[in-house]
Amino acid sequence: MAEYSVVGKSPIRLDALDKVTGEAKYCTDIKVPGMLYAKVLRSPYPHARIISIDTSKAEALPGVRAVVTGKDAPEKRYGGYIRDQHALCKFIVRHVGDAVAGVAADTLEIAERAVDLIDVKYEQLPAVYDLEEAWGTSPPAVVHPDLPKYEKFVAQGLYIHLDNDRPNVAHHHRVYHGDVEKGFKEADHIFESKFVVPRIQHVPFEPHICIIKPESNGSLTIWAGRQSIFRIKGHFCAAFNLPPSKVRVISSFYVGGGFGNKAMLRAEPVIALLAMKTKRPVRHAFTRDEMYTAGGTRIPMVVFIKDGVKKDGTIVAREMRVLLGIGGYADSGVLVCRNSSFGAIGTYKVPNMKLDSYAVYNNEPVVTPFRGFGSSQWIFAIESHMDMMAEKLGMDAVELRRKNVQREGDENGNGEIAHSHGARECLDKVAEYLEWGKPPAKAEGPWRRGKGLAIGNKYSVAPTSAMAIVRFWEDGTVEVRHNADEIGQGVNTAMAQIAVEELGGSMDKTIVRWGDTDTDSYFPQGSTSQRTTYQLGNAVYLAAQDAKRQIFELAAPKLKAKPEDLAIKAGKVFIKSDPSKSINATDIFTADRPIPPGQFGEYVPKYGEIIGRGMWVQNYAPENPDNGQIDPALARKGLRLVSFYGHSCQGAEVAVNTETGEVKLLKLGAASDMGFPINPKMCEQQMESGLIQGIGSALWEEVILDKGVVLNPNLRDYKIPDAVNMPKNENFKTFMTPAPHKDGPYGAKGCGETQMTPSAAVIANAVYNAVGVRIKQIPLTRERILKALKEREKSK
Amino acid sequence: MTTYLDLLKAKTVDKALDRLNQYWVEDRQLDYFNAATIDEALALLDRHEGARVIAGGVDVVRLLRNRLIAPTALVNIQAIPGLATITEDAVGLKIGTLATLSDIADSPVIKGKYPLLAEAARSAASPAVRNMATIGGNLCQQVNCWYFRMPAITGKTFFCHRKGGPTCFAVDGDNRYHAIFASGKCHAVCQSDLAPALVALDAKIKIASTDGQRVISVEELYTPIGNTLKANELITGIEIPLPAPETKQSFLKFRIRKAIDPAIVSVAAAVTVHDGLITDARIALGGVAPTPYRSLAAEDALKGSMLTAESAQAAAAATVRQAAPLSMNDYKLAIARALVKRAIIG
Repeated sequence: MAEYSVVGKSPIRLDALDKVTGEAKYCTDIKVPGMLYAKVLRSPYPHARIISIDTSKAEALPGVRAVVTGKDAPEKRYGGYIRDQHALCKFIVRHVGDAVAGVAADTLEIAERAVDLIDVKYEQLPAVYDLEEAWGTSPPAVVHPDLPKYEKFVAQGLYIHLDNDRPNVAHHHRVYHGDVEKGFKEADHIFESKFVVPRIQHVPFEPHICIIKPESNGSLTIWAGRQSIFRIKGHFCAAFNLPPSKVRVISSFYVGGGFGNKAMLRAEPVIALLAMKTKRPVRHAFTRDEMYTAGGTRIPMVVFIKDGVKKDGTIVAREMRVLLGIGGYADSGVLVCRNSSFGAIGTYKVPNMKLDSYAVYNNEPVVTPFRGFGSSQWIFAIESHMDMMAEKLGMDAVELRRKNVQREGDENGNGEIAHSHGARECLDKVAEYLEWGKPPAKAEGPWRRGKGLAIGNKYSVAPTSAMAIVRFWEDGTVEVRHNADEIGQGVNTAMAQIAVEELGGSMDKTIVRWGDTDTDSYFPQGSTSQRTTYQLGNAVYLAAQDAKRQIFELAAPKLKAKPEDLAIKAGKVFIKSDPSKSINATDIFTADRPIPPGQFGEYVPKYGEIIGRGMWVQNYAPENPDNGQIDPALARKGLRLVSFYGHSCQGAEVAVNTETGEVKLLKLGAASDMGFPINPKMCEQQMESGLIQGIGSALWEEVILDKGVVLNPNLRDYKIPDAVNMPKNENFKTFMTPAPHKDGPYGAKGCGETQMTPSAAVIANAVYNAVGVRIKQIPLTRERILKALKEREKSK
Repeated sequence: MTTYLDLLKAKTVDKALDRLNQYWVEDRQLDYFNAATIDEALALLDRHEGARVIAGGVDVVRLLRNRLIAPTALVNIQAIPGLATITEDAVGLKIGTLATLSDIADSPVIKGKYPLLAEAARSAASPAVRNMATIGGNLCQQVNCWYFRMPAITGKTFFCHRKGGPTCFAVDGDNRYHAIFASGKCHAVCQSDLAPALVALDAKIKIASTDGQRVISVEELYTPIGNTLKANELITGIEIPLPAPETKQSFLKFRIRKAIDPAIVSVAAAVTVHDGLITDARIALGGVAPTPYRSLAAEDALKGSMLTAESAQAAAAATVRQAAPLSMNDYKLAIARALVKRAIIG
């Protein structure tokens, strides 16, 4: 591996000082002169017709500047992939928390009071909650009777397939590979099972927030703590029929966590209506409880899996049917319906595969992307099933995985040829760490010990592209301009590392500017789909090459050499073949005339400034919408359906209390194949945080609903993991087993989302190993474990 | 002036909800008073119908924000001198009503002679809350049932039995955290960690009003839907008798995460053992009933027995024999049994 001076190391994060001193700015720190405060009135009913809305009392309240209802909303519906939503409900509310009216007032307190004064008369309608019922051919309620008439949007490889017999199905995605019937015939054993994954929430520390300001030229400026400002802009322009030049989205501050939660429009359409009506800037922030009801949640799923296996453990057929509960509106749910199938494709060699996934509307809260984009839910089922099959086959669970895991060059279920596949190495590493094969420590009192592991994968979507700008300053400072979102993952530091590496600068002389659709470089999908290191990293790398080319052109005459013979390192430009012949890189700015000491060059004769531009386009091979297969000829050329796959393996040793159902985490480990760790410390943080978040979903987290009402919309009753419950130091280890990617910068690929995909199955498998009960529904609560123990006792 | 209680006197649920909604949109006033002495606080409570005491404010502010109380005035007692003291004499311990949970958890006297109380205080909530929350407020805190507590701002109100309505929504709803012992219609659980601890220690509560003083046991403070404090009364302190020598104390709290979370089940046990023979026992549970739940059955099973794994097991079994779990919470029986046994025998 080449020697690098900055990438592959872990310099102090550029945001570290600001964050530990409280200096870091977030959207909430933005105050715009004349700003009003908004509150949204939300539906208390899961499904109801709006009979009338009387806003007169609210409008009469002193300090109220505007009230908007469905009447003020555009006739046209908006939505990422299916346009199924009005900016404010016009006729029907489809979930508790659906937006019915908005108020802008001088203070938040006045806005809250005004919302109370709005009198809405509803006629309640039958509602549907249960996923299998909603999926049925005659469900108790049809959430969108006009669905066939709605506008659909083909994007990111998604083609919408409705189901004529199932009125709540927003999309039916199919991946048919090989001949699954033939595969089952060849199998010695067939195993079937059903798994259930509930709704969880992302719980970013900063709830959704936006400020929208109408400008005098008729455009709108939106400050918002989001992920992917260009997507927000695109969806917003479509919602209001505005041209791209009339909408500017700014997120040039830190965002307090995203995990996918901030990738789509939330309250922005309502707040825009208020801003346009008042002609004043309007601010809106979600409360914590609104985050659960209207802020977007992860998609609950019911997963049916059927595997055909040879005696020796070779998987010959896999059939899966997955129902995704997308709530009242499609949002990203239809895209998750397609992309989550990659969870079943990216790990194992399965010659015959049939995957059918259905995005199903019901009258529950809206869903939105969540770290893993659905793969985690599928993988919980697959990886639990792998352990169940191993036991029935009398095989070791690690052996069964080793036998079936894809290797470089294998064909996967989409017909892609696997590349940069480190799952096997990750598996070996974690098995070694857990001392796999050595039985766990003996029981102590009611405690039983067990070990478990699982493999996960997460793709990054294609096609996609990224642009970046790198500027080389007169004093040698390296500046990067990009439009990813700094959501805590450290993108600014990683991108600066790449530019500094290429321009021979130093990390303490860097500037990073980001987050403004008007001024910076195009990055259409932002910090989502674990793409920034790979896509944006490539763009920054190319922009640095462009800047370097300009530097060399200016330096060449001074060194009496050709530009292509030069190199740059540690602030010097030198001749490759004779490094003793060098000039300071900054000397290129002091062109032809003397400059007083301490003053930097006034002009650069040729370019004015050194500004490099870079653009990376991820090509792809499109799939056949009917069977999810790509053209084999394109596959052979190395074209893929996705940008890359990341792989990880995680393992745990747990203790389970047979009297109380308590699960204690004794030892955790994670290995990941991120290609090349641009910043190993930050990779480690992703690995730890993904595993912890995954454990939250395995043991504690669940949005609890009663007829569409969220019962636990707070941090007391919705339980996220905390440090106290995690093992420490030598009992919590991460391993990097890089599998370099031919298209990644320095071989790197993303690793943020992959880390959460195996975690739930890890815990379920470890609990099984400890006490012998298989829990097929997460979270693995005490009551579920105790109930299963009791039932097993009875059946004995 | 309409008080919150008047609103609940409607004939139908819809009417009550309408009146509630109407109430919140009307202009209303909330007075705030800083009392300098107990007498001044009591006089203010007398003078202002619908007034409410505020000390640490941990629960009162949350109730206010979620519109579960509608006081006409708040009487702040935080500045009254001498109410936060912890003192010991020959007969026992006196704790002022303003002593915080941190004060109690850190007190050398309590850690030395009343360790189950120190442990109960230490187990509650988070450090930030323990620094604010007072013992008086902890005992008076409202239940945390998610139907009862649903923030009105979500637009959804469950007009439940505890609010004067006809039903307990937990019975047919999600009751995984609810009571397994309910003597009335409400199935919420008393969430105070100190209440079962104080029951096990046979503590008394001192209550003052302009009518004079009264002293009650901790069990007498609670009713199935609230407490027995009158609107003009104030808890001024807690008194705990010195435990008999050879009393083994234990407080165990079972919860989902090790920090912050309320009890699924908690057990406070004070067991006096003389030469292996149990001469006295007080066993109280939290998280299982709308009040702290004293298990006389467990105590009877222990008294007169030798302290053994079998007698602990028998007491544990006796504890839940009368339980009536709801559709989703019978797992609490297993946990209660395990905890009672562990609290007695270790």
